[in-house]
Amino acid sequence: MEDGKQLAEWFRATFEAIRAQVARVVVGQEEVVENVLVAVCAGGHALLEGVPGLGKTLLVRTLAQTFSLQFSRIQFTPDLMPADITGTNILAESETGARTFVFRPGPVFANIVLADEINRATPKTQSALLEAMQEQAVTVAGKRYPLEPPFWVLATQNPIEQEGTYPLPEAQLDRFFFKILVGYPTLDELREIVDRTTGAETPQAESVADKETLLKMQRLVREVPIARPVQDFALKLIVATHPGSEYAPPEVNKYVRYGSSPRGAQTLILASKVYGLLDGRYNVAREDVERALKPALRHRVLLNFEAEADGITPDQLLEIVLAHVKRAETEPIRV
Amino acid sequence: MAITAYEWSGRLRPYRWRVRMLLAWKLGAIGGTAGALVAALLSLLDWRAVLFVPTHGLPLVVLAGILLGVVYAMLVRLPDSAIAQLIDRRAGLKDRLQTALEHTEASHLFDQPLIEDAQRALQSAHPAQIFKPRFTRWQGLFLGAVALAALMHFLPQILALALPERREEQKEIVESAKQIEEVVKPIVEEAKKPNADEIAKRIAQSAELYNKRAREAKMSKQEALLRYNQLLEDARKLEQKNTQKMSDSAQKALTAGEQLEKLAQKKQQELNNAFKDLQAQLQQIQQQLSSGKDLQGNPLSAEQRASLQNQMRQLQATMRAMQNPANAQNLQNQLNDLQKQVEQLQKQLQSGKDASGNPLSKEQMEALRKQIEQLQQQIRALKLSQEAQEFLRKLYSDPAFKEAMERLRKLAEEMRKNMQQQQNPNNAEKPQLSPEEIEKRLQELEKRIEELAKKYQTDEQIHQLAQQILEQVKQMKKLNQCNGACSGLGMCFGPGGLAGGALGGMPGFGGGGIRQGPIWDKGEFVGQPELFNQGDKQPELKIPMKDTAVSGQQPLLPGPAEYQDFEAPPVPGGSSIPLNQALPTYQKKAEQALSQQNIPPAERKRVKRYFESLQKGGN
Repeated sequence: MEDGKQLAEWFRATFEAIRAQVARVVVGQEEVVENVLVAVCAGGHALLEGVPGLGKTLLVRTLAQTFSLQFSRIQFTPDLMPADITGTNILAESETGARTFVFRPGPVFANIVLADEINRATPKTQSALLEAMQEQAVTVAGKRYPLEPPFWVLATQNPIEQEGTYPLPEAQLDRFFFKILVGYPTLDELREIVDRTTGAETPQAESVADKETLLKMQRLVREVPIARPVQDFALKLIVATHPGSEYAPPEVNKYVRYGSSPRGAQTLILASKVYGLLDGRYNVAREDVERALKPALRHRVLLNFEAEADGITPDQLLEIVLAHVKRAETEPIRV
Repeated sequence: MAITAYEWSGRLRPYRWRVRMLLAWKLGAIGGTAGALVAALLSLLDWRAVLFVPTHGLPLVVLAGILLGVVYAMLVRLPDSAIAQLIDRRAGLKDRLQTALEHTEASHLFDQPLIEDAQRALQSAHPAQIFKPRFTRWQGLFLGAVALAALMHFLPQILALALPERREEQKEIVESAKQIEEVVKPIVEEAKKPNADEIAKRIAQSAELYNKRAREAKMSKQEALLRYNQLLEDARKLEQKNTQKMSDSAQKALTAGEQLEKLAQKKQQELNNAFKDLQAQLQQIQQQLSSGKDLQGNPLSAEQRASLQNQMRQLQATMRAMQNPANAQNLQNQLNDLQKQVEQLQKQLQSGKDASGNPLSKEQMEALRKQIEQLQQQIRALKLSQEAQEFLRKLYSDPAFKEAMERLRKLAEEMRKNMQQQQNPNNAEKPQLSPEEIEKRLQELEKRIEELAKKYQTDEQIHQLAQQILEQVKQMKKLNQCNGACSGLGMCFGPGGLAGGALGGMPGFGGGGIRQGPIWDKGEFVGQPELFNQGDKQPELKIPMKDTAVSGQQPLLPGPAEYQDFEAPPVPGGSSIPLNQALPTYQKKAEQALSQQNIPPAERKRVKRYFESLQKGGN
């Protein structure tokens, strides 16, 4: 039996190795890269949101390179059909001349699926990913086809304000482990991007982790212990997003239409465990929970029209929620 | 290696102790704040005279609050998980300790490294560094509450210093308080005794309260007057009670003296009886000798006659000695002579032979026994006489005893009169004896009785009775001292005291009778609570007023008062009743007023003269 300490060290080393490989290709965006990797280590899907041209697709493709896994990319367009994603039964002729329907797997049958510009497809097509993301299987013509683990959907989307986009349905949004916002690069980063991409050589990422490594990392994350009060803190944050709940601040009651689902709580805890390990600890701290709060819940808290009118974003609201819960959470002995 | 919950508890002990200290620091401040607020409230209530709180009680209330807070901090349960959580937060251990405390079994993959990590982290967190006492809002609140309580306590004094009219008033009140304290000292001393009188205790308490409130400037002039009046009322009651006791003591002392006299009379009676017995015996012998026959009627022999004559001589000698007790030598010689004879006769009786050596017959022996018995009776009578004479000589011949008894008798009589005067509320006359006079007399009496007791130290009965008298006299002295204090109370607001020269004189009630006391202001009556108007606003008269001296009142201005004599009969006016009819009634009232000393001494002659002149007119 391997020592927990060594395993934790191995985890951190592997994580850093993957990050280093990604950093060879992707300039800056450390937080984005880290959050994507956290989602991967926790076995969750990630939704990257940002304006076009910020390297979202490059990031996911580089990640797939470092993992030596089967990778497929689906470019979502308004005319994309669900069968284009899941695959379909086609009429095939055998050597004997007999014609039978044969299932032809779609691009979803891969370890890493890049759903590029996912919100450009119609909600019907977007929903084709629902079963795959949750059940890790697809059903075509009444037959269920399991997907080979590990399976991740790393989707990118443009801000919904942009033209020609369809907002993702709530049910699908909830299935994404993290929603990661991709921002503009800084001047230095931009300079580096230009240097790297306009030169003769384009850096390439090397594979540093295989399927087994990633599955082992996922198992290891689940072993990290969490203290009851820390868990309660995370759960209070979830409950605080529910309008009318005991812990909800007035802003939540005013601006939130739907709060986070229990899946949000699972995400928060799992992500916190990864952060704990990455911080060189063997436990989850409140700081880890705070760190995971925005990427884990920003797509799970659905705001109402009033919030939009007042210019309130989910991130702002989550900050309010965090401050409220921290304020309410007093020391066990007030000295 | 796993670490048990018990071991964790041990490692957390110094932190727990430190947390307790911080908790005591905080809860002590909270308790102190509560205590200080209560103290402020008590101060306010004390100021408003709703309840009375001793000055040292206020800091005690604050201390009690602090103590309660600290005790609670020491007793409150501090679980390990709470301590661990607190350390995690204060030392920035990122929930390591708390998580490790929940995973003491080391059964999971990360449990062991977690425990080691937590222990390492704990070592870097020193209790004194992470649990430093800080000045928080609670300590601030505590200081604020203490300041409030102090302000509430000292505000009356500050006001008394700041406002000129209050300053003057306060000066007067403090002065009066000092005088009262000085005067009631004997009563306070008396009240401290276990069997002290309830009224004395009440006076002591009232005086103490008066003094306290005066010192703390919490008393207005009006309140000071009311309290003073209450004190006077109590003092009057105590004085009455003490006078009653003094009268009782005087009576007891007198009774003890009378007992002594009775004892002497009893001895005298016994002596008389013995003398009468001897006289009866002498008569019997004389009868036998004159008749020549003995008691049985037999003729007396020569020997019997000689014996009877001898007995008669002896009896006469004994009676002579008894009748003349001043000659102690004679009494003693006679006693010795009798004793010798008794011895001789007893020898004869024992040997059965007479003085000449002849054997004694049965009759002779019987006669001898009888003779011995008679002689012994004479000896007893002589001894009794000796004792009685000695006792009476000591008492009646001692002028000190006589004088002491006479003084005691007089004092008892005067005490009785004093008491009767006090019991009659309508009696405005001065008591027969003032406390100073009584004190003087008691001192003299005590001195004499002490001398008497010392003189008769050897005589148990006299000494004992003298001691009893002395005890009663001492008791009377103590009571008189209290009475002196009671009387003195009535003088505390004298012209040099509270009211000063600005206030006029007014009869005030104090001590055993009416005292001369001043008033503070119009409508404020010292010593007459029933007349005190409680500060009610007096209706303003819409007429021009002028202060004018009237007869019987002290002059408003120093110097001789102006007056005008009216000679009788007055100028004829519209009177419908003849003078000779109205005069007796008015004359009687005037005499009563004079006898009850309602009229100032300086004016008495003038009043008397006026009525005498009326008498002439009436005639």
